Amino acid sequence: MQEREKIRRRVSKVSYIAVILLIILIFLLGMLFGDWIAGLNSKEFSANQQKLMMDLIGLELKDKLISQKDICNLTWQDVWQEKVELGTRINSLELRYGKDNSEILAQKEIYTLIEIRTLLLLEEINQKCNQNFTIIIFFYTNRKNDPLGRWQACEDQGYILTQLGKEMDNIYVLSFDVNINNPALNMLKNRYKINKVPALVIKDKVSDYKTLEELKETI
Amino acid sequence: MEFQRILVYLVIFLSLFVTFFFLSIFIKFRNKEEKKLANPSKVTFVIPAFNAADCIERTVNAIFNSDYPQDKISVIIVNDGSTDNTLKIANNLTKKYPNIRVLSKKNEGKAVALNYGIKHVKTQITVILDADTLPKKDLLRKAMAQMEDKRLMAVTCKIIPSNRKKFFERMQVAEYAFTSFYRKLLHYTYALQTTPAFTVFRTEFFHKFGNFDAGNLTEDMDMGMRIQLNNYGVGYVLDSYAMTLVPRTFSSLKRQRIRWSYGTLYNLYKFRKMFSPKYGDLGIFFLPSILTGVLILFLISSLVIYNVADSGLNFFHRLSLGWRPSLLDLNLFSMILSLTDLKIILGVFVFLIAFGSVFLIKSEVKEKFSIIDWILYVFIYTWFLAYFYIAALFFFLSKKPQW
Repeated sequence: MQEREKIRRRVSKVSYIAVILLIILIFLLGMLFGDWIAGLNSKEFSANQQKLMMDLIGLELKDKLISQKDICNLTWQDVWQEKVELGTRINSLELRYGKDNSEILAQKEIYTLIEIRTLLLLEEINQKCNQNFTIIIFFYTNRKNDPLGRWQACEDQGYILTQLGKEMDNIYVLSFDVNINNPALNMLKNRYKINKVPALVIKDKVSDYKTLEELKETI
Repeated sequence: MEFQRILVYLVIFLSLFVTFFFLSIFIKFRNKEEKKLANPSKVTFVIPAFNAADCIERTVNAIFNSDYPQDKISVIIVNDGSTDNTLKIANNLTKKYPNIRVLSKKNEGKAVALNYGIKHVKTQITVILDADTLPKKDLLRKAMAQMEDKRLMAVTCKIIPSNRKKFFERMQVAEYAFTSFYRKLLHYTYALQTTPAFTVFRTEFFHKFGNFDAGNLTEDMDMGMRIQLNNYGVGYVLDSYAMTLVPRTFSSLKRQRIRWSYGTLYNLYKFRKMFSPKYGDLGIFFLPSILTGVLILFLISSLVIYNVADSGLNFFHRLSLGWRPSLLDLNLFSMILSLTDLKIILGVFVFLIAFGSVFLIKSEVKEKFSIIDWILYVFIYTWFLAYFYIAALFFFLSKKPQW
């Protein structure tokens, strides 16, 4: 039988290289696009944070300049809503960029100061205006192997406090990451002698993790 | 989480690599003209028939209904120890058509029946046809036209399911459409390595390189690999088809697919020396891509199942704490930010490519299936296929299963 013509095998090197380069380009474009959108969001967040800081300072100045009964007319509820929104956003930024990202940590420190300012404002309004709302200070960690306490218990406590806020009125929760190294926060931790987390401060009393039912009873 | 991220990027990279490489073949060869048949040769159909009483007559009628010159067609029906009326019907067909011969033997399986029939073939072309497969009128002519390419030892064709009403049948319609497109692309680069239900062979190949391997669960792939091993090609007809019955239920589908998967693994191992640059793109891309495809499906399905299970467990854990979901939990900022994650962006891109491929395959293969069926096929059915492969791998590594 006459030998039949056979197929000449070849390796399409050019095609492989072209495909790999195309995929690298797609990955790069994807990264750039994602970072660009996230960057826009991040800038918006920084701007919002600055604005909120200014609003708080403005409220504090108003407080100093006006009489006692007028302090109760301050529009602090809007400030509170903005703060809550910022808190949600900083959590999202942590998830997106990572908890150890230096920019996020810087933003978080500013946010911590905003929270402390908000705490002081709320305490003053509560005292001077007979508002009778409950301020809960929540100390937590989001590090997996933190010697101060269990990260999972802190996350659980966070969800419980969120649910508490939905079910009861006049509950104001301020959350502080114990690993933020800031003099004002350190002072706050010392005030309540916080040495493990999760820690809750309700009506100046410090307690550990509480279930939803226990919190409702306490309040 | 870091490991999972790397895994996701790996899956995306492999998916894009395989897709774009095949796309490059499609772009290069899409306008390649199909050959026209110049001189029809004499052909002999060999049909192994085991308990095929309900379909053998229809199949033989379809053969003699083709637009190929009737005087050039002979048929050998090999009754493989049937216990129904197959033999009687086959003998009756010899009175209806002049060129039919019926051979009878004890049941020893399809490969042995085929080899027995091939021994009696006197023409240069042998057509292997399953008893339940109906070739379209112009299929033989178009297949023979491709045989004008002397480098081809065989030509096979698009197979389409004849039953297409139930869920698993419709899934297989989408699957066979995808497979047809994939095989056409392989054919362009002489990398097709399977010879299923309808295949035209040069009889000389059996004489030179041996008959069907009776010990092989997928003797059709074994034959295709043998053709490739000897640096010949397998052609493919996409603009005609043969119709066959596909499994109707999950259990029959499972059994068939585990057998096919096992056979594929067995043949890839048997012909492992072909995983080499010596065999060009076939050796370094197409053969490895069979396993890569399974790996990708397995990883995607596992990642999705893991993340859904993890999210589900987290959700129920939060419910146990007293937390209840509400619209207040939705946050536009968070949602937009999560969409900027690279794996989400690339995942969406891959999904769009897969979605776009539906329209491409539908227009090239000219098969009807709905977009919903395609989505179910891509996101659910293929995962089953991946797990069937894993089951087959388990059998392959332990011991051969009893079929």
